[in-house]
Amino acid sequence: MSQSSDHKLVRLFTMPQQFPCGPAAACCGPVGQSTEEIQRLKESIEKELSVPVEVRNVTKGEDMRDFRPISGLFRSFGPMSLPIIAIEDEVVSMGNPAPEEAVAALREKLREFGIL
Amino acid sequence: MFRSPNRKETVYLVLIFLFYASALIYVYGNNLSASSIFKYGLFQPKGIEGDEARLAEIETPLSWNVPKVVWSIYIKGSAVLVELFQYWIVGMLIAASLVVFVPWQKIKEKMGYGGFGSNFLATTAGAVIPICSCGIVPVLAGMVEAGIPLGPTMAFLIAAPMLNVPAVFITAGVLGWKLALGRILGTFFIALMVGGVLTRWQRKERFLRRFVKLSIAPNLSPELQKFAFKVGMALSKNPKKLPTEKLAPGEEEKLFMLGEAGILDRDKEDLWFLPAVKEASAGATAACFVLPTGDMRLSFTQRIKKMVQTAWDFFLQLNYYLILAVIIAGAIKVLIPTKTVVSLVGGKHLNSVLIASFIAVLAYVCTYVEVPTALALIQKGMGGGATLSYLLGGPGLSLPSIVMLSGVFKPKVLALYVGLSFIGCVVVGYVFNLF
Repeated sequence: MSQSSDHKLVRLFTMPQQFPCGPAAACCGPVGQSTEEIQRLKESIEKELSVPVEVRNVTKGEDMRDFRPISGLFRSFGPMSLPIIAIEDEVVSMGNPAPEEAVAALREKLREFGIL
Repeated sequence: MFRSPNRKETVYLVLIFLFYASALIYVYGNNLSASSIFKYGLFQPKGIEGDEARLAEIETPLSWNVPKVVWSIYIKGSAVLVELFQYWIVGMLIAASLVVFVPWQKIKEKMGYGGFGSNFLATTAGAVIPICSCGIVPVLAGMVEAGIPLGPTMAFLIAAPMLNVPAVFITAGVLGWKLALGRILGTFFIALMVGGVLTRWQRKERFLRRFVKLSIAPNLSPELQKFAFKVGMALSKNPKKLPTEKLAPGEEEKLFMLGEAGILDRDKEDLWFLPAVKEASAGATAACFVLPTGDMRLSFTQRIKKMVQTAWDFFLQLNYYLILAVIIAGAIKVLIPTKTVVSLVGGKHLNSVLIASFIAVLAYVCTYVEVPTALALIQKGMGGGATLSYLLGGPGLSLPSIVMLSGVFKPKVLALYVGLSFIGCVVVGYVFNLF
């Protein structure tokens, strides 16, 4: 782990889990991630990489004001692209990854930045 | 189960309810024929039968009394809505079933950009299915969303209102077999011509977003979806435009697939970029209809459920155009009544294919209404070629349907459709006159 890694902030762009067709429906959804899913992902990243992780809601205007490219990605690819994981403003992962996949992708990117 | 309409959609829903209710109250309040409003979209006194039943309508004389004219436009438009609404609902369900039951990627792989065979098949399908020019619009949206190429889509759009089995028999019975045969051949000629031009055009341009306005987000295979995300990530940082060799070397075909799905675009210098998606579509994107789980392996019952949900979503998205169309139809009916059209085009001095085609486009003539109108025109001295042009152009092209189509297609596609269909009607009419 690098001491300087805290300069690079990891952001998880997500939306609260919704069941557009009802919780029991198999035809569509759910879209977005549950609080538990996001918490698990956040904790894995923080624990494995020692980087601060911030969670933002893509459906909230004030959360996305400074992240127009991410909003653009969400509009292009839809809820299936969530969570979008970014370091600063560089997107590292789109779509729902297993925590270890997300950690691996982030580790590689942090190495590229010369942090790990 | 159904997504809630947003504020605008709620307003359109309320307007549709008002239009519909007004028409019915007007019919019952004035003791008019209930069947004629559902069958022909006309306010008629009870007891009118035969050919006259499709033509006769209560008078709304033109005057400088603006509120009265506005009221007439509203009430006649509402009558059109009552007739159209049943086709509109059926159209939504057909569209939704196309989206749910037809896998986008397989269609794309099998049909490519279409061709003579696909266009012929689509024209034949259109000729068999009886849908009027306004009811066809939601079906079109479903076809585009299902990944059917634009050539066959357009061939279907032209053939469906111009030709169908009952219309052929009505034409043959009332106007004779020569005109009925001319109608069949003329429809195939126009549909295959416009479909062929669009097939070539799409093959050249490839990118769906350049042709259609709809927010298309088809269900991609997990592999293509993963590729789309990879490409999306690469294009979200500077430089936001990249050539194939930097973006995905050796995988240009996949990039084109994403282009055809409306996810990517390419500029004149062959650099790929993410096209701007309107803010408004984020709401639709969040709805289950656009991107569900990405897994189409659903049971039959689940698909039926999803079909109804998709139809509801289409309904909410396209109602604006339905309202606009019925207002225009009402205005045409009040400002240019059918009887005036008959008296204008009926004279031998105006016995012209060109004028008949032009009036057919301007007038609102729903499928099945064109035959008795044409009979009246023939009785006033209209020639065979002009009659055929009218039979093709009347139900095929109309201002209300053009307005509704503007919600699906970009202006250049719409101009091509209207222009070529018009030219086709004129050519067919002149050729018919040679026999």
